[in-house]
Amino acid sequence: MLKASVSVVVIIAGAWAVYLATDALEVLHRAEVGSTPERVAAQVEDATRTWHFSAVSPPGVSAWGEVSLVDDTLELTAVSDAPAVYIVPVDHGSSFRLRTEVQFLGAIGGGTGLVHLGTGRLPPDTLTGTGVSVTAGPASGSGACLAYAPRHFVAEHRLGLATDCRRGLEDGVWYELTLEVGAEGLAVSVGGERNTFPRLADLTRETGTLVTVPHLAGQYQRPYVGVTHGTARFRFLEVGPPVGGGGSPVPTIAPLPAAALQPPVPLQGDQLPATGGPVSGLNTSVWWLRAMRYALYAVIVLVCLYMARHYVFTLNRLFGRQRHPYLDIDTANWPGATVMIPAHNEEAVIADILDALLDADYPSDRLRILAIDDRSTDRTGEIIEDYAGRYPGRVIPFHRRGGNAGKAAALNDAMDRVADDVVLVFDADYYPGRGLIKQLVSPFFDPEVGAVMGRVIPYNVGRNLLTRTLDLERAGGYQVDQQARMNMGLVPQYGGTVGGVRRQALLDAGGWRPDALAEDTDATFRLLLGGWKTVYQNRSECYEQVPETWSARVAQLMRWTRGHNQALARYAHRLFTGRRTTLREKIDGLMVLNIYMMAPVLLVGWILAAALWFLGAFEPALIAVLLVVSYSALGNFAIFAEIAAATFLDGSRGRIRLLPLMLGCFLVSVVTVTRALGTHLVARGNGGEVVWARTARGEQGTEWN
Amino acid sequence: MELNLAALLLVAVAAAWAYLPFMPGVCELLELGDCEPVRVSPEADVNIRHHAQGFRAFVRAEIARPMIWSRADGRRQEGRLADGTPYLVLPEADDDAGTLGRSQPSRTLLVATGSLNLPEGAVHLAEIFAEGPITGGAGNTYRALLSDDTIELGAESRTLRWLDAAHAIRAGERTRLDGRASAGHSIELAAGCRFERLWAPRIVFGGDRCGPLAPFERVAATPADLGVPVEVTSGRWLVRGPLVLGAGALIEADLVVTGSLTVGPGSRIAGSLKSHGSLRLDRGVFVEGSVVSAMDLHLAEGCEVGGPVLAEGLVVLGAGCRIGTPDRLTTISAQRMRIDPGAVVHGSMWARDGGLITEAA
Repeated sequence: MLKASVSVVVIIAGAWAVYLATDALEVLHRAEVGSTPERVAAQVEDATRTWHFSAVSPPGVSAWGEVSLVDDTLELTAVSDAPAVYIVPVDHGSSFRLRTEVQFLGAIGGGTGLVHLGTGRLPPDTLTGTGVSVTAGPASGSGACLAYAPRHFVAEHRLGLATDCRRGLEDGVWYELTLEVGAEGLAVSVGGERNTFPRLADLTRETGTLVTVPHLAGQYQRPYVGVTHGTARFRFLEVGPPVGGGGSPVPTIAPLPAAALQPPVPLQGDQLPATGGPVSGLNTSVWWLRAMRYALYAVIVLVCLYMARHYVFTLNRLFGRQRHPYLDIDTANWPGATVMIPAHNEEAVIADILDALLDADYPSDRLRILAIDDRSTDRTGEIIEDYAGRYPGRVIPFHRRGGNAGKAAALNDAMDRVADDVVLVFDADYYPGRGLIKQLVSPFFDPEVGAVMGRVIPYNVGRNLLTRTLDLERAGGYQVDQQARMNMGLVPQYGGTVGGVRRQALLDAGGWRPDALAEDTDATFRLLLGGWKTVYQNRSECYEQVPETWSARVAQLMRWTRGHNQALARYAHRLFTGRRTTLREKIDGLMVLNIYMMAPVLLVGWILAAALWFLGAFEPALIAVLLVVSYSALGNFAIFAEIAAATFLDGSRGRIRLLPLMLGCFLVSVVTVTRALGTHLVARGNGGEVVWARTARGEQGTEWN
Repeated sequence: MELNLAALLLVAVAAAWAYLPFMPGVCELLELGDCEPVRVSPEADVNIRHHAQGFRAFVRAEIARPMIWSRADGRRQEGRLADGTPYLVLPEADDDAGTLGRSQPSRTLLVATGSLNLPEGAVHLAEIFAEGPITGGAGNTYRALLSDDTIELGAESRTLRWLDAAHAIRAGERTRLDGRASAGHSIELAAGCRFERLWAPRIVFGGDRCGPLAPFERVAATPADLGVPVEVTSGRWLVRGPLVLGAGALIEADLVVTGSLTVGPGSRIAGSLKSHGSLRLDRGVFVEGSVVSAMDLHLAEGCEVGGPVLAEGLVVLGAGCRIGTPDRLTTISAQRMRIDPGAVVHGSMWARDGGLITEAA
């Protein structure tokens, strides 16, 4: 357990290190671009200057304050009730470095037209910018963009101001910028030239927050000015002169006296641009962007949890204490047991499993085989009758001619004919070994056990890529995942076949639910809520035929998804609030229930990351984290580790070479599971009944599960 | 044209580069190198007599003729098996292995058509089979022993893999039985013996020397009598936290306790017991069903359990404890076991990290 804990800490630290490293790279990049020592030294001769600024946004949010350059220090004091004040670079030739910690709303950004939203703290000396300007509200810029909360901060800086963020003071012209929003729209005055834009949308780019001043220069020769919510009145009351500039003339603009500083006047409603659509849309988008960002954080946290879970399970199987508490029970006064075999058109295989069960190493007078002919149209019923005639009392036929479709409904209908307290379930195409029945019955000597699950091993492994990858997936799922949950006292799952339940416990929990799409998961959680444990027996193995076609696999996966999500909707709350489950069972149970939600969640995460990226409201470092973590959880290193451990434990190591090919299967799973969720929701929304479907597998045609 | 070629070349190189990680998988897919189904656990894991049965069949098949000759002429038969392993068949009248394995370890497969006497101080690193009883001297080491009758091991002997007797096994003091030991009727282990896996209808430790305890007075208990909240579902009592049952309690239900559990002297449980913590049965407790503990399990003197006894830690069996009955064999399984002389088990015993019969009386 200690090793597992240490490993988790190392993994988390590693992920955090990746994040920091990415961040550091960005800082280094900025330092390289804009703040070489030579440049700084060349600009030290600057004089003291002060700028005052004010801004106001339509809802009455305003910001004003003062920017001063004293010797080599830029001081900005913001007095504002605005959500944020931003420094935006308009000068490629200046640089700054923080000396104090700054709490910011927003983040470091770069690149033209990008807005990066976020919250956090910047420690001192972690940021070097390439220029400084001031605006309020969400803003954008080229090069460094520091957004910070309205509080005092000090930055060490060398200030220059230019019209061209790329070419510095190339033209040597120094402009005064005034932006005003009035009834006529947004007016931008630069260098005495005034332009009016009736529609704000005419000025904004895709972010809705970036205003370019088009007349100043060409595509890449413009200052960027942030505008609060796109509708603020923003004005540089005073503009300082450029510094250095390769000998260009520096205009002298005297600092504005403090008395001249006027608080901004909030705009009235009728002062807003006539076209209100873009304005309200832009306001909303800010709130929406934040929500998107928090949703993305939630996705990252969820994915991290599942990633850690997979790694913990893998490490537990490799290094932890293994629990097989019931495996040794080979001698006992065996209780009566009934094996239920639901069969629908299984004439090809039903005789095989009946023969296998009749040959089982179990007292013949205590083992009954309830063969369920579920509306078969082939010879299944006839074969069952033949066996019942030859083995009276041992093979009990049950011909089901009507009722709901589905395995759960068939089991539920047949349950009335079961008298034994131990009920095992096998699908008709399984072939249990002689000792398997005893192994599956033995856990029921524990009065706390409500269900048992054995291990399913694919038999038709070598058919094609699908069967080979399913073999790996099953190995990881059973050999590592299920057994680790058994070891750790979590929630192993009853899987519907090669397993069994305690009859009375299940009946007390409501019996088989005919409307359950995944009766196994449904039973597992109802038993858990009733205080019963499910036990996994890794060495109680039985072969199965896995799907050989992608269509069958997709159908199987969709049914599992719908069934699992059905159980999630039904039992998640009860599991969370139930008194009969331990904390670790609650946590693991919720994660098990939620497992088929992770694929769509991950897709949502990717979409959110991409959207935030293109909206310019997201840090590249976090995108990197998301990509790494996503890849490590679904698609993916964590499950790959689990599968690799499983092949190691199984002693079948050659097949580990197939691991990279699992990537494609995971992508198929992600899409299929998401699609299944969608169809399930649509079906529920339409009030329609979700129809249970059987999975076609192997050469035998259709089978249960 | 040149640009197109360059672009094509770039795409080709990129595709090859991207293909590289998948190459081993594609090779495996084409070669079908490891595409057999994973093997299920062999029957040997669950059948304690599997090796003995296999060896018996092997001897009957491979050494049948020398055994017939030996019986016919009363002389020893020697030879080598197909893999070069030497064998020696002793006639019924010649039951003494002599100095075999005494000066140096013997790797001769030894077969006796009658009884077999193995002098002390010998090391036999090949299997031994006797159609009659096998008597081993003190301090001997064996790889495996098989007898169609009984096996009697001298003090401080050791078996490395397994031993099986059709009738009985008796092991002297401080004998060490690594692997499996099975007998058709009984196994008797003296004090100081160590074992891993035993099976017999009757297993006696240090002699069956304890008589029945004085009868206890018992009073039927209801859930309310337990003094703690009890959830009753499906004929099962569920108690959250630890529980101490008083003396002479009679409970007609399964009892599951999420903490530790102590059952008072003379109590009777007409069901099964399970505790998440340690479990202690005081003197004279009788449990009709099974007893399961996720930790250690202590059974004091004179306890009786009808069903399987399972613990994930240590099991301590006090003197006079009786697990199972001659007509209802059962299993006792734990990581470790410590058994006081006088305990009797009917059925199967698994001590994964070893069991020890204490030397105290």
